[in-house]
Amino acid sequence: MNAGFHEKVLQLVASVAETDEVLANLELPLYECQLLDSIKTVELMIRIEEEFGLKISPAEFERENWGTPRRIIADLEKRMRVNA
Amino acid sequence: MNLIEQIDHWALTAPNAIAHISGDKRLTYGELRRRSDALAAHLTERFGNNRSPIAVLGHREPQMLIAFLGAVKSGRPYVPLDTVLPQQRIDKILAISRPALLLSPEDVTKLSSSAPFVPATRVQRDDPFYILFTSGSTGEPKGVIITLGCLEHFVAWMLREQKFVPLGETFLNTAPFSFDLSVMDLYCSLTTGSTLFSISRDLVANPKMLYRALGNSGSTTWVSTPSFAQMCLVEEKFSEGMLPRIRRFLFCGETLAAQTAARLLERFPRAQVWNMYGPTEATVATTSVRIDRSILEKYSALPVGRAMPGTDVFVVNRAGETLPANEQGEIVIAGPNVSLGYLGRTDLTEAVFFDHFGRRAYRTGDQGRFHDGFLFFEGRMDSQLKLSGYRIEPGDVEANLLALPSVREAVVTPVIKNGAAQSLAAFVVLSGQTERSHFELTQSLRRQLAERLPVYMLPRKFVFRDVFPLTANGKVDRARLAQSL
Repeated sequence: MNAGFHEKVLQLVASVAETDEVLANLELPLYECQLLDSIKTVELMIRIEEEFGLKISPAEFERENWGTPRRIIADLEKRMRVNA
Repeated sequence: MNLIEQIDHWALTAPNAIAHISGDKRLTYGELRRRSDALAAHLTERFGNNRSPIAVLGHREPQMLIAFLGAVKSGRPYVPLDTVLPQQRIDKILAISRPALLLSPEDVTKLSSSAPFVPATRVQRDDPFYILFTSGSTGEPKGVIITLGCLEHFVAWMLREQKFVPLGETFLNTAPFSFDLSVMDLYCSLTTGSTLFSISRDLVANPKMLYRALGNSGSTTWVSTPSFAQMCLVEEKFSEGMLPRIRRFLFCGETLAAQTAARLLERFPRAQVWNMYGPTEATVATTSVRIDRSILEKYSALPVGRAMPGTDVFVVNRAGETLPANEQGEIVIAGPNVSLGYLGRTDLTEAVFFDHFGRRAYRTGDQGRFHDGFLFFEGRMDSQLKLSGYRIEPGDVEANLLALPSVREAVVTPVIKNGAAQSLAAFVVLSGQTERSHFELTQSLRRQLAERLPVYMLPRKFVFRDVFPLTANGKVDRARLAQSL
Protein backbone atom coordinates (compact mmCIF):
# COMPACT_ATOMS: atom_id res chain seq x y z
CA MET A 1 0.00 0.00 0.00
CA ASN A 2 1.24 3.49 -0.73
CA ALA A 3 1.78 6.49 1.48
CA GLY A 4 -1.36 8.09 0.03
CA PHE A 5 -3.46 5.28 1.47
CA HIS A 6 -1.85 5.65 4.91
CA GLU A 7 -2.40 9.39 4.78
CA LYS A 8 -6.08 9.00 3.85
CA VAL A 9 -6.70 6.48 6.63
CA LEU A 10 -5.05 8.73 9.18
CA GLN A 11 -7.09 11.71 8.00
CA LEU A 12 -10.29 9.68 8.45
CA VAL A 13 -9.27 8.52 11.93
CA ALA A 14 -8.27 12.09 12.88
CA SER A 15 -11.59 13.42 11.64
CA VAL A 16 -13.67 10.80 13.51
CA ALA A 17 -11.55 10.98 16.69
CA GLU A 18 -11.59 14.79 16.43
CA THR A 19 -7.86 15.22 17.07
CA ASP A 20 -4.82 15.78 14.86
CA GLU A 21 -2.71 13.95 17.44
CA VAL A 22 -3.59 10.84 15.41
CA LEU A 23 -1.40 12.18 12.56
CA ALA A 24 1.57 12.73 14.85
CA ASN A 25 1.43 9.66 17.08
CA LEU A 26 0.78 6.33 15.37
CA GLU A 27 0.91 4.50 18.71
CA LEU A 28 -1.84 6.59 20.28
CA PRO A 29 -4.09 4.24 22.34
CA LEU A 30 -7.38 5.28 20.74
CA TYR A 31 -9.81 3.44 23.04
CA GLU A 32 -7.87 4.05 26.25
CA CYS A 33 -7.74 7.79 25.46
CA GLN A 34 -11.51 7.57 24.73
CA LEU A 35 -10.91 8.97 21.26
CA LEU A 36 -12.84 6.00 19.86
CA ASP A 37 -15.86 4.31 21.41
CA SER A 38 -18.53 2.05 19.91
CA ILE A 39 -20.40 4.83 18.14
CA LYS A 40 -17.18 6.40 16.84
CA THR A 41 -15.95 2.99 15.68
CA VAL A 42 -19.11 2.46 13.69
CA GLU A 43 -18.82 6.00 12.29
CA LEU A 44 -15.26 5.19 11.19
CA MET A 45 -16.47 1.98 9.51
CA ILE A 46 -19.01 4.00 7.51
CA ARG A 47 -16.39 6.57 6.50
CA ILE A 48 -13.99 3.80 5.41
CA GLU A 49 -16.68 2.20 3.29
CA GLU A 50 -17.47 5.57 1.67
CA GLU A 51 -13.78 6.31 1.01
CA PHE A 52 -12.40 2.90 0.00
CA GLY A 53 -15.51 0.83 -0.74
CA LEU A 54 -14.37 -1.53 2.00
CA LYS A 55 -17.22 -3.02 4.00
CA ILE A 56 -16.41 -4.00 7.59
CA SER A 57 -18.88 -6.09 9.54
CA PRO A 58 -19.26 -4.79 13.12
CA ALA A 59 -20.39 -8.28 14.18
CA GLU A 60 -17.01 -9.68 13.14
CA PHE A 61 -14.94 -6.74 14.34
CA GLU A 62 -12.15 -7.15 16.93
CA ARG A 63 -11.54 -3.92 18.81
CA GLU A 64 -7.92 -4.85 19.53
CA ASN A 65 -7.18 -4.63 15.79
CA TRP A 66 -8.00 -0.92 15.86
CA GLY A 67 -6.27 -0.05 19.13
CA THR A 68 -3.85 2.48 17.58
CA PRO A 69 -3.66 4.41 14.27
CA ARG A 70 -0.86 2.04 13.17
CA ARG A 71 -2.99 -1.03 13.84
CA ILE A 72 -5.93 0.46 11.94
CA ILE A 73 -3.69 0.99 8.89
CA ALA A 74 -2.35 -2.57 9.14
CA ASP A 75 -5.86 -4.05 9.53
CA LEU A 76 -7.22 -2.10 6.57
CA GLU A 77 -4.24 -3.04 4.40
CA LYS A 78 -4.89 -6.70 5.19
CA ARG A 79 -8.57 -6.35 4.35
CA MET A 80 -7.78 -4.53 1.09
CA ARG A 81 -5.39 -7.34 0.06
CA VAL A 82 -8.04 -10.00 0.80
CA ASN A 83 -10.62 -8.03 -1.17
CA ALA A 84 -8.28 -7.34 -4.10
CA MET B 1 -54.28 -4.35 41.88
CA ASN B 2 -51.69 -1.61 42.06
CA LEU B 3 -48.42 -1.84 40.17
CA ILE B 4 -46.51 -3.56 43.00
CA GLU B 5 -49.29 -6.16 43.40
CA GLN B 6 -49.34 -6.70 39.64
CA ILE B 7 -45.64 -7.62 39.76
CA ASP B 8 -46.03 -9.79 42.87
CA HIS B 9 -48.96 -11.60 41.25
CA TRP B 10 -46.56 -13.30 38.81
CA ALA B 11 -44.74 -14.87 41.75
CA LEU B 12 -47.94 -16.77 42.52
CA THR B 13 -49.02 -17.70 39.00
CA ALA B 14 -45.59 -18.21 37.41
CA PRO B 15 -42.94 -18.33 40.17
CA ASN B 16 -40.32 -19.93 37.91
CA ALA B 17 -40.77 -17.45 35.04
CA ILE B 18 -37.59 -15.46 34.46
CA ALA B 19 -37.96 -11.80 35.44
CA HIS B 20 -34.45 -10.63 34.62
CA ILE B 21 -31.39 -11.81 32.69
CA SER B 22 -28.14 -9.90 33.05
CA GLY B 23 -25.01 -11.67 31.76
CA ASP B 24 -25.06 -15.12 33.31
CA LYS B 25 -27.36 -14.05 36.16
CA ARG B 26 -31.06 -14.98 36.24
CA LEU B 27 -33.82 -13.88 38.58
CA THR B 28 -37.23 -15.59 38.77
CA TYR B 29 -40.49 -13.90 39.76
CA GLY B 30 -40.67 -16.16 42.83
CA GLU B 31 -37.25 -15.04 43.98
CA LEU B 32 -37.92 -11.39 43.15
CA ARG B 33 -41.00 -11.39 45.40
CA ARG B 34 -39.43 -13.41 48.23
CA ARG B 35 -36.27 -11.34 48.34
CA SER B 36 -37.92 -7.93 47.90
CA ASP B 37 -40.35 -8.79 50.72
CA ALA B 38 -37.45 -9.80 52.92
CA LEU B 39 -35.53 -6.62 52.11
CA ALA B 40 -38.64 -4.50 52.76
CA ALA B 41 -39.04 -6.21 56.14
CA HIS B 42 -35.43 -5.44 56.97
CA LEU B 43 -35.78 -1.77 55.95
CA THR B 44 -38.99 -1.38 57.95
CA GLU B 45 -37.42 -2.90 61.03
CA ARG B 46 -34.23 -0.88 60.70
CA PHE B 47 -35.59 2.55 59.80
CA GLY B 48 -39.13 2.55 61.22
CA ASN B 49 -40.97 5.72 60.24
CA ASN B 50 -37.97 7.29 58.50
CA ARG B 51 -39.15 7.46 54.88
CA SER B 52 -35.86 8.70 53.44
CA PRO B 53 -35.06 7.17 50.05
CA ILE B 54 -32.97 4.06 49.50
CA ALA B 55 -30.11 4.61 47.04
CA VAL B 56 -29.19 1.61 44.88
CA LEU B 57 -25.79 1.54 43.20
CA GLY B 58 -24.96 -1.12 40.62
CA HIS B 59 -24.86 -1.96 36.95
CA ARG B 60 -27.95 -3.87 35.80
CA GLU B 61 -27.61 -6.66 38.36
CA PRO B 62 -30.81 -8.56 39.26
CA GLN B 63 -30.26 -7.40 42.85
CA MET B 64 -31.08 -3.85 41.70
CA LEU B 65 -34.64 -4.96 40.85
CA ILE B 66 -34.93 -6.59 44.28
CA ALA B 67 -33.70 -3.36 45.88
CA PHE B 68 -36.13 -1.15 43.91
CA LEU B 69 -39.13 -3.28 44.90
CA GLY B 70 -37.85 -3.82 48.44
CA ALA B 71 -37.61 -0.05 48.93
CA VAL B 72 -41.13 0.74 47.67
CA LYS B 73 -42.63 -2.20 49.55
CA SER B 74 -41.21 -0.64 52.71
CA GLY B 75 -42.80 2.72 51.83
CA ARG B 76 -39.59 4.39 50.61
CA PRO B 77 -38.68 5.66 47.15
CA TYR B 78 -35.47 4.48 45.55
CA VAL B 79 -32.70 6.45 43.86
CA PRO B 80 -31.14 4.36 41.06
CA LEU B 81 -27.41 4.96 40.52
CA ASP B 82 -25.23 3.30 37.93
CA THR B 83 -21.57 2.48 38.52
CA VAL B 84 -20.75 4.21 35.22
CA LEU B 85 -21.24 7.49 37.13
CA PRO B 86 -18.05 8.94 38.61
CA GLN B 87 -17.76 8.98 42.41
CA GLN B 88 -18.04 12.78 42.69
CA ARG B 89 -21.34 12.75 40.79
CA ILE B 90 -22.62 9.94 42.99
CA ASP B 91 -21.53 11.90 46.08
CA LYS B 92 -23.46 14.97 44.87
CA ILE B 93 -26.60 12.90 44.29
CA LEU B 94 -26.27 11.28 47.72
CA ALA B 95 -25.80 14.71 49.33
CA ILE B 96 -29.04 15.94 47.72
CA SER B 97 -31.16 12.80 48.21
CA ARG B 98 -29.84 12.01 51.74
CA PRO B 99 -30.78 8.33 51.58
CA ALA B 100 -31.36 6.20 54.67
CA LEU B 101 -29.11 3.60 53.07
CA LEU B 102 -26.93 3.04 50.01
CA LEU B 103 -27.26 -0.53 48.75
CA SER B 104 -24.79 -2.42 46.55
CA PRO B 105 -25.81 -5.70 44.86
CA GLU B 106 -23.83 -7.58 47.55
CA ASP B 107 -25.73 -5.75 50.33
CA VAL B 108 -29.01 -6.70 48.67
CA THR B 109 -28.02 -10.37 48.56
CA LYS B 110 -27.17 -10.29 52.27
CA LEU B 111 -30.20 -8.29 53.43
CA SER B 112 -32.80 -10.15 51.36
CA SER B 113 -32.13 -13.67 52.56
CA SER B 114 -34.10 -13.58 55.82
CA ALA B 115 -37.59 -15.06 56.21
CA PRO B 116 -40.05 -12.95 54.24
CA PHE B 117 -43.14 -11.24 55.56
CA VAL B 118 -45.42 -8.80 53.79
CA PRO B 119 -44.81 -5.29 55.11
CA ALA B 120 -47.84 -3.08 55.58
CA THR B 121 -46.25 0.28 54.77
CA ARG B 122 -45.98 0.12 50.98
CA VAL B 123 -45.65 3.20 48.82
CA GLN B 124 -49.11 4.65 48.15
CA ARG B 125 -50.37 6.26 44.96
CA ASP B 126 -49.29 9.82 45.83
CA ASP B 127 -46.00 8.80 47.45
CA PRO B 128 -42.65 9.11 45.70
CA PHE B 129 -41.76 5.81 43.97
CA TYR B 130 -38.39 6.72 42.53
CA ILE B 131 -36.18 9.80 42.33
CA LEU B 132 -34.18 10.08 39.16
CA PHE B 133 -31.33 12.53 38.77
CA THR B 134 -30.75 14.53 35.62
CA SER B 135 -28.33 17.26 34.55
CA GLY B 136 -28.91 20.67 36.16
CA SER B 137 -27.74 23.93 34.59
CA THR B 138 -25.67 25.07 37.60
CA GLY B 139 -23.58 21.90 37.96
CA GLU B 140 -25.90 20.37 40.58
CA PRO B 141 -27.93 17.37 39.40
CA LYS B 142 -31.72 17.67 39.79
CA GLY B 143 -33.74 14.86 41.41
CA VAL B 144 -37.07 14.34 39.63
CA ILE B 145 -39.66 12.81 42.01
CA ILE B 146 -41.97 10.29 40.34
CA THR B 147 -44.90 8.92 42.36
CA LEU B 148 -46.48 5.49 42.16
CA GLY B 149 -49.50 7.22 40.55
CA CYS B 150 -47.30 8.75 37.81
CA LEU B 151 -45.74 5.40 37.04
CA GLU B 152 -49.06 3.53 37.06
CA HIS B 153 -50.58 6.04 34.64
CA PHE B 154 -47.64 5.57 32.27
CA VAL B 155 -47.49 1.77 32.49
CA ALA B 156 -51.26 1.32 32.14
CA TRP B 157 -51.15 3.36 28.92
CA MET B 158 -48.23 1.35 27.54
CA LEU B 159 -49.97 -1.95 28.32
CA ARG B 160 -53.22 -0.81 26.64
CA GLU B 161 -51.51 0.60 23.57
CA GLN B 162 -48.89 -2.09 22.97
CA LYS B 163 -50.96 -5.13 23.96
CA PHE B 164 -47.95 -7.00 25.35
CA VAL B 165 -48.53 -10.75 25.65
CA PRO B 166 -48.53 -11.70 29.37
CA LEU B 167 -45.62 -14.06 30.14
CA GLY B 168 -44.75 -13.92 26.44
CA GLU B 169 -42.45 -10.95 26.00
CA THR B 170 -38.73 -10.36 26.33
CA PHE B 171 -37.85 -6.68 26.70
CA LEU B 172 -34.43 -5.45 25.70
CA ASN B 173 -32.92 -3.21 28.38
CA THR B 174 -30.24 -1.00 26.85
CA ALA B 175 -30.35 2.00 29.20
CA PRO B 176 -28.84 2.06 32.70
CA PHE B 177 -31.44 2.08 35.50
CA SER B 178 -30.31 5.62 36.36
CA PHE B 179 -31.71 6.80 33.00
CA ASP B 180 -35.51 7.07 32.76
CA LEU B 181 -35.80 5.24 29.44
CA SER B 182 -35.10 2.04 31.43
CA VAL B 183 -38.32 2.60 33.40
CA MET B 184 -40.22 1.72 30.22
CA ASP B 185 -38.65 -1.71 29.70
CA LEU B 186 -38.34 -2.47 33.41
CA TYR B 187 -41.95 -1.91 34.46
CA CYS B 188 -43.68 -2.94 31.22
CA SER B 189 -41.73 -6.17 31.56
CA LEU B 190 -42.37 -6.82 35.27
CA THR B 191 -46.09 -6.01 35.16
CA THR B 192 -46.64 -8.44 32.27
CA GLY B 193 -44.65 -11.32 33.76
CA SER B 194 -42.12 -10.93 30.97
CA THR B 195 -38.34 -11.20 30.89
CA LEU B 196 -36.07 -8.17 30.99
CA PHE B 197 -32.84 -8.79 29.09
CA SER B 198 -30.11 -6.33 30.07
CA ILE B 199 -27.27 -5.34 27.79
CA SER B 200 -24.27 -4.38 29.92
CA ARG B 201 -21.76 -1.64 29.09
CA ASP B 202 -19.09 -4.29 28.32
CA LEU B 203 -21.29 -5.60 25.54
CA VAL B 204 -21.94 -2.15 24.10
CA ALA B 205 -18.18 -1.52 24.03
CA ASN B 206 -17.57 -4.70 22.04
CA PRO B 207 -19.66 -4.85 18.85
CA LYS B 208 -18.92 -8.54 18.22
CA MET B 209 -20.21 -9.51 21.68
CA LEU B 210 -23.12 -7.07 21.39
CA TYR B 211 -24.55 -8.67 18.24
CA ARG B 212 -24.06 -12.13 19.71
CA ALA B 213 -25.97 -11.07 22.84
CA LEU B 214 -28.74 -9.47 20.78
CA GLY B 215 -29.07 -12.67 18.77
CA ASN B 216 -29.29 -14.76 21.94
CA SER B 217 -31.68 -12.41 23.74
CA GLY B 218 -34.89 -13.69 22.12
CA SER B 219 -36.19 -10.11 22.38
CA THR B 220 -39.74 -9.35 21.32
CA THR B 221 -39.69 -5.70 22.39
CA TRP B 222 -36.80 -3.39 21.65
CA VAL B 223 -36.49 -0.32 23.86
CA SER B 224 -33.63 2.07 23.14
CA THR B 225 -32.68 5.52 21.99
CA PRO B 226 -32.67 5.90 18.20
CA SER B 227 -28.84 6.31 18.29
CA PHE B 228 -28.40 2.80 19.62
CA ALA B 229 -30.53 1.26 16.86
CA GLN B 230 -28.79 3.44 14.28
CA MET B 231 -25.46 2.03 15.43
CA CYS B 232 -26.78 -1.55 15.26
CA LEU B 233 -28.11 -1.01 11.72
CA VAL B 234 -24.57 -0.57 10.36
CA GLU B 235 -24.29 -4.37 10.60
CA GLU B 236 -26.12 -5.91 7.65
CA LYS B 237 -26.93 -9.05 9.63
CA PHE B 238 -28.91 -6.92 12.07
CA SER B 239 -32.27 -8.05 10.72
CA GLU B 240 -35.09 -10.49 11.32
CA GLY B 241 -32.59 -13.35 10.97
CA MET B 242 -30.72 -12.11 14.05
CA LEU B 243 -33.83 -11.18 16.06
CA PRO B 244 -36.60 -13.47 14.72
CA ARG B 245 -39.03 -12.83 17.61
CA ILE B 246 -38.92 -9.04 17.53
CA ARG B 247 -42.39 -7.48 17.25
CA ARG B 248 -41.86 -3.84 18.10
CA PHE B 249 -39.21 -1.15 18.39
CA LEU B 250 -40.01 1.52 20.97
CA PHE B 251 -37.95 4.69 20.71
CA CYS B 252 -37.75 7.58 23.11
CA GLY B 253 -35.19 10.06 24.40
CA GLU B 254 -34.18 11.79 21.18
CA THR B 255 -35.26 12.49 17.61
CA LEU B 256 -35.98 9.42 15.51
CA ALA B 257 -34.72 9.98 11.96
CA ALA B 258 -37.09 8.87 9.19
CA GLN B 259 -34.21 6.97 7.58
CA THR B 260 -33.66 4.89 10.74
CA ALA B 261 -37.35 4.00 10.92
CA ALA B 262 -37.44 3.13 7.20
CA ARG B 263 -34.41 0.86 7.44
CA LEU B 264 -35.84 -0.93 10.47
CA LEU B 265 -39.13 -1.57 8.66
CA GLU B 266 -37.18 -3.01 5.71
CA ARG B 267 -35.00 -5.26 7.86
CA PHE B 268 -37.80 -6.29 10.23
CA PRO B 269 -40.92 -6.45 8.05
CA ARG B 270 -43.05 -8.05 10.79
CA ALA B 271 -42.15 -5.52 13.49
CA GLN B 272 -43.75 -2.20 14.37
CA VAL B 273 -41.75 0.97 14.93
CA TRP B 274 -43.00 3.48 17.51
CA ASN B 275 -41.77 6.99 18.14
CA MET B 276 -42.39 8.39 21.62
CA TYR B 277 -41.72 11.66 23.38
CA GLY B 278 -41.65 12.93 26.93
CA PRO B 279 -39.38 14.45 29.55
CA THR B 280 -38.27 12.65 32.74
CA GLU B 281 -40.55 15.09 34.63
CA ALA B 282 -43.60 13.46 33.01
CA THR B 283 -42.52 9.82 33.53
CA VAL B 284 -40.57 8.55 30.51
CA ALA B 285 -43.01 9.23 27.65
CA THR B 286 -46.26 11.10 27.14
CA THR B 287 -46.93 10.90 23.40
CA SER B 288 -46.58 8.11 20.87
CA VAL B 289 -47.16 7.26 17.23
CA ARG B 290 -46.65 4.13 15.19
CA ILE B 291 -44.34 4.94 12.28
CA ASP B 292 -45.60 3.05 9.26
CA ARG B 293 -45.13 3.49 5.51
CA SER B 294 -47.86 6.12 5.24
CA ILE B 295 -46.27 8.29 7.97
CA LEU B 296 -42.86 7.90 6.33
CA GLU B 297 -44.24 8.96 2.94
CA LYS B 298 -45.96 12.00 4.41
CA TYR B 299 -43.38 13.47 6.80
CA SER B 300 -39.65 13.96 6.40
CA ALA B 301 -39.36 15.03 10.05
CA LEU B 302 -41.31 12.43 12.01
CA PRO B 303 -44.09 13.35 14.44
CA VAL B 304 -43.79 12.28 18.08
CA GLY B 305 -47.48 11.42 18.20
CA ARG B 306 -50.55 11.99 20.27
CA ALA B 307 -50.88 12.34 24.05
CA MET B 308 -51.67 9.36 26.25
CA PRO B 309 -55.34 9.28 27.29
CA GLY B 310 -55.97 11.16 30.52
CA THR B 311 -53.10 13.60 29.91
CA ASP B 312 -53.23 16.88 28.00
CA VAL B 313 -50.38 18.08 25.85
CA PHE B 314 -50.60 21.58 24.46
CA VAL B 315 -48.41 24.28 23.00
CA VAL B 316 -48.28 27.76 24.54
CA ASN B 317 -46.80 31.16 23.68
CA ARG B 318 -44.62 33.23 26.03
CA ALA B 319 -47.72 34.56 27.79
CA GLY B 320 -48.83 30.99 28.53
CA GLU B 321 -51.77 31.13 26.09
CA THR B 322 -52.60 27.95 24.21
CA LEU B 323 -51.68 28.19 20.54
CA PRO B 324 -53.70 26.79 17.63
CA ALA B 325 -52.40 23.99 15.40
CA ASN B 326 -49.38 24.76 13.20
CA GLU B 327 -48.05 27.47 15.51
CA GLN B 328 -44.77 26.86 17.28
CA GLY B 329 -44.50 27.34 21.03
CA GLU B 330 -43.49 25.66 24.28
CA ILE B 331 -44.81 22.14 24.91
CA VAL B 332 -46.76 21.80 28.17
CA ILE B 333 -47.88 18.52 29.74
CA ALA B 334 -50.73 18.31 32.29
CA GLY B 335 -51.90 15.08 33.87
CA PRO B 336 -51.37 12.33 36.43
CA ASN B 337 -47.96 11.41 34.97
CA VAL B 338 -46.44 14.80 35.87
CA SER B 339 -43.79 14.67 38.62
CA LEU B 340 -44.11 16.22 42.10
CA GLY B 341 -41.08 18.34 41.20
CA TYR B 342 -37.38 18.46 42.04
CA LEU B 343 -36.20 17.05 45.35
CA GLY B 344 -35.35 19.83 47.80
CA ARG B 345 -35.57 22.51 45.10
CA THR B 346 -38.82 24.42 45.58
CA ASP B 347 -37.36 27.29 43.54
CA LEU B 348 -36.74 25.14 40.46
CA THR B 349 -40.04 23.29 40.95
CA GLU B 350 -42.10 26.47 41.13
CA ALA B 351 -40.41 27.83 38.01
CA VAL B 352 -41.70 25.04 35.74
CA PHE B 353 -44.49 23.12 37.52
CA PHE B 354 -47.93 24.66 38.00
CA ASP B 355 -51.58 23.90 38.52
CA HIS B 356 -53.64 23.69 35.35
CA PHE B 357 -57.37 23.49 36.16
CA GLY B 358 -56.69 21.23 39.12
CA ARG B 359 -54.11 19.05 37.36
CA ARG B 360 -50.37 19.09 37.78
CA ALA B 361 -48.67 20.63 34.76
CA TYR B 362 -45.07 20.95 33.56
CA ARG B 363 -43.56 23.46 31.15
CA THR B 364 -41.06 21.32 29.26
CA GLY B 365 -38.82 23.99 27.75
CA ASP B 366 -39.21 21.98 24.51
CA GLN B 367 -40.44 23.70 21.36
CA GLY B 368 -43.00 22.11 19.14
CA ARG B 369 -46.26 22.39 17.26
CA PHE B 370 -49.34 20.36 16.44
CA HIS B 371 -49.91 19.47 12.81
CA ASP B 372 -52.44 16.97 11.44
CA GLY B 373 -53.29 16.15 15.06
CA PHE B 374 -49.72 15.06 15.80
CA LEU B 375 -47.21 16.76 18.03
CA PHE B 376 -43.88 17.60 16.38
CA PHE B 377 -40.84 18.20 18.57
CA GLU B 378 -38.73 21.10 17.26
CA GLY B 379 -35.82 21.54 19.66
CA ARG B 380 -35.20 23.36 22.92
CA MET B 381 -36.00 26.88 24.04
CA ASP B 382 -32.79 26.95 26.12
CA SER B 383 -29.32 25.48 25.69
CA GLN B 384 -30.20 22.01 27.04
CA LEU B 385 -29.31 19.25 24.58
CA LYS B 386 -29.48 15.50 24.13
CA LEU B 387 -26.54 13.29 23.22
CA SER B 388 -27.38 9.62 22.63
CA GLY B 389 -30.62 10.31 24.50
CA TYR B 390 -28.89 11.71 27.58
CA ARG B 391 -30.06 15.13 28.69
CA ILE B 392 -27.20 17.57 29.19
CA GLU B 393 -27.14 21.15 30.42
CA PRO B 394 -23.99 22.81 29.01
CA GLY B 395 -23.98 24.93 32.19
CA ASP B 396 -23.51 21.74 34.21
CA VAL B 397 -20.36 20.87 32.25
CA GLU B 398 -19.11 24.48 32.46
CA ALA B 399 -19.59 24.60 36.24
CA ASN B 400 -17.61 21.37 36.62
CA LEU B 401 -14.85 22.64 34.32
CA LEU B 402 -14.63 25.87 36.30
CA ALA B 403 -14.18 23.83 39.47
CA LEU B 404 -10.84 22.57 38.09
CA PRO B 405 -7.91 24.71 39.34
CA SER B 406 -6.31 25.00 35.89
CA VAL B 407 -9.45 26.47 34.27
CA ARG B 408 -10.21 30.19 34.54
CA GLU B 409 -13.07 30.48 32.04
CA ALA B 410 -15.10 27.86 30.21
CA VAL B 411 -17.85 27.79 27.60
CA VAL B 412 -19.39 24.53 26.40
CA THR B 413 -21.31 24.27 23.15
CA PRO B 414 -22.66 21.41 21.05
CA VAL B 415 -20.87 20.35 17.88
CA ILE B 416 -23.58 20.28 15.23
CA LYS B 417 -23.33 17.89 12.27
CA ASN B 418 -26.15 17.34 9.77
CA GLY B 419 -28.39 19.58 11.87
CA ALA B 420 -28.02 17.55 15.07
CA ALA B 421 -25.79 17.79 18.14
CA GLN B 422 -23.09 15.11 17.81
CA SER B 423 -20.78 15.90 20.72
CA LEU B 424 -19.67 18.71 23.02
CA ALA B 425 -16.86 21.20 22.55
CA ALA B 426 -15.31 23.12 25.42
CA PHE B 427 -13.66 26.50 24.98
CA VAL B 428 -11.22 27.08 27.81
CA VAL B 429 -9.11 29.94 29.12
CA LEU B 430 -6.44 28.46 31.38
CA SER B 431 -5.48 29.95 34.75
CA GLY B 432 -1.78 30.11 33.92
CA GLN B 433 0.91 29.49 31.32
CA THR B 434 1.75 25.93 30.34
CA GLU B 435 4.36 24.13 28.28
CA ARG B 436 2.03 21.22 27.55
CA SER B 437 0.67 20.53 24.06
CA HIS B 438 -3.02 21.02 23.32
CA PHE B 439 -3.46 17.28 23.12
CA GLU B 440 -1.87 16.72 26.54
CA LEU B 441 -4.00 19.51 28.01
CA THR B 442 -7.13 18.02 26.44
CA GLN B 443 -6.37 14.58 27.83
CA SER B 444 -5.60 16.02 31.26
CA LEU B 445 -8.82 18.08 31.42
CA ARG B 446 -10.92 15.14 30.19
CA ARG B 447 -9.35 12.91 32.84
CA GLN B 448 -10.07 15.41 35.60
CA LEU B 449 -13.58 16.05 34.36
CA ALA B 450 -14.24 12.30 34.15
CA GLU B 451 -13.85 12.20 37.95
CA ARG B 452 -16.79 14.59 38.22
CA LEU B 453 -19.09 13.87 35.27
CA PRO B 454 -20.42 10.80 33.44
CA VAL B 455 -18.68 9.93 30.14
CA TYR B 456 -21.58 11.14 27.99
CA MET B 457 -21.12 14.67 29.44
CA LEU B 458 -17.41 14.94 28.60
CA PRO B 459 -16.52 17.34 25.76
CA ARG B 460 -14.71 15.55 22.93
CA LYS B 461 -13.03 18.68 21.65
CA PHE B 462 -11.19 21.31 23.71
CA VAL B 463 -10.25 24.66 22.21
CA PHE B 464 -7.81 26.79 24.19
CA ARG B 465 -8.02 30.60 24.03
CA ASP B 466 -6.12 33.41 25.71
CA VAL B 467 -9.35 35.43 26.07
CA PHE B 468 -12.97 34.97 25.02
CA PRO B 469 -14.61 37.32 22.51
CA LEU B 470 -17.21 39.61 24.09
CA THR B 471 -20.56 40.90 22.86
CA ALA B 472 -21.42 44.61 22.86
CA ASN B 473 -22.91 44.08 26.35
CA GLY B 474 -19.62 42.75 27.65
CA LYS B 475 -20.79 39.13 27.90
CA VAL B 476 -18.90 36.17 26.46
CA ASP B 477 -19.90 35.89 22.80
CA ARG B 478 -21.01 32.24 22.82
CA ALA B 479 -22.40 32.39 19.30
CA ARG B 480 -19.05 33.54 17.91
CA LEU B 481 -17.22 30.80 19.78
CA ALA B 482 -19.65 28.17 18.47
CA GLN B 483 -19.26 29.48 14.91
CA SER B 484 -15.49 29.13 15.16
CA LEU B 485 -15.71 25.33 15.49
